[in-house]
Amino acid sequence: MSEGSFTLGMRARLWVRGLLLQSCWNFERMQNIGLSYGLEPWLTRVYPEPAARRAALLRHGEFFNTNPYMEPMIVGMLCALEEEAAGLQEPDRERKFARIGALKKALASALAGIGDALFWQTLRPFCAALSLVTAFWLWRLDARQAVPAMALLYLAVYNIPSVALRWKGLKWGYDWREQIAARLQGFAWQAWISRLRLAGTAVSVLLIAALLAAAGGRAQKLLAVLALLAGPIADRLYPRAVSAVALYMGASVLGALAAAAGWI
Amino acid sequence: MNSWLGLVGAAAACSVIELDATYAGQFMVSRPLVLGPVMGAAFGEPGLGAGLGALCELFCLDALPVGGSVPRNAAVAAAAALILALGPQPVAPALAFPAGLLAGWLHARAEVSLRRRRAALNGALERRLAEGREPGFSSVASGQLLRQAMMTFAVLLAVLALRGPLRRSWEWAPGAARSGLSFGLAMSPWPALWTLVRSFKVVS
Repeated sequence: MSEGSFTLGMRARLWVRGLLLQSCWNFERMQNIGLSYGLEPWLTRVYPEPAARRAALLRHGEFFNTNPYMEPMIVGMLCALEEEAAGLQEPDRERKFARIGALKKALASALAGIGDALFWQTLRPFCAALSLVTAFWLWRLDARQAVPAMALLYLAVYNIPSVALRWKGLKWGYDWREQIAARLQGFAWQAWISRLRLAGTAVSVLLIAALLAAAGGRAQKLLAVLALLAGPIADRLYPRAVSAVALYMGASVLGALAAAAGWI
Repeated sequence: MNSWLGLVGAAAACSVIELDATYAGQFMVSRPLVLGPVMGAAFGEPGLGAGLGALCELFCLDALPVGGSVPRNAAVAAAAALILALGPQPVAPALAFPAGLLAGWLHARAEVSLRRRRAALNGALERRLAEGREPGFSSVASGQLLRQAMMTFAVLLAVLALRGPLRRSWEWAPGAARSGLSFGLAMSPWPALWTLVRSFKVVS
């Protein structure tokens, strides 16, 4: 089997199946079934003998958990290594299988950390901040497109990099194989995450300033500032970060007490 | 669309869209900032949809789906709040919003139960493979997606069934309670925005 077997059609099948990585998420082994499902077309190609293919699927039924946007890199690497293993004889093949298992575990853990920091902790809130501030300014300009722009901008800013990474990741994993960890270190992930976080903070502060400026009279602005400061003050007072839900419940209780006292 | 049938249809659509949150795709179409405007537009109230969607998005930002944690379901929270606040004889947004958050939390608890039960699939698949049979991944995956969607639909139908009682309880509630919830909703963007700023300070 040559590298020509990793065709565009095969990549597309693996990519589509990768979208269902978490379809059978379970606490015992997390994404294992989704990974096996994702690898099935490739394993069918490199192990034409059904018993060998089922053995390969069994091997990939062990615990597996990573960030879903980084999973294609692991799948690409596994495709390349399984292809190499299929061309070996015992006992080299068994040693290769053990190496595949160890690499899979190590890479899953490393990429989970990067993916979670990049997508869940940074890109997702950044998209929220950017789309909200855009919607606000469009609304101030009386544009009817404010609401649809909010949703479309969110989807575009999130999906352009994430879909591209998922697609390219498959090829990178296949091409770089065992070198993928070393190659990925050159991507400066942390620098990108830091830049996005800085940009997100700036956009959020801009949004807050704009909303405060648009708030009604002096009393409303004062209430808004107090409600805004309640968050950082609560975080200072309590050992764990206080959630927005807790602050909202607190505000509701205060509002009820104030209403009962006849103040509002 | 602005009818009870429309609301049931919206619940069904949201049940399928919710799969995008974790189980299929993760293209963020299930995020409240997307779902809210779409649902609002479908019922002729894009502003309300966008507003409640934005609040649900920010209130659920700090709940990260990492490892084994199952945070409050943002899609269900937004869908539930909007199913209550849109359409004929709506519930006041001040009550719909916390009800939506509660629905999102309840859905997460039900999802934990579903995930626990899925562990049985591992043994079943291993037995099939060991016995020389095909694993049937496609039917397993589609079956699990269907269960998840049905579970979400059940939660949203329960929310829909509670529209009348919630609307009546709002009418009968003491004035202080109504004022409190209204005040809480009016103030809610500010702690939500603090959550947004704070999310960029998280150390990875």
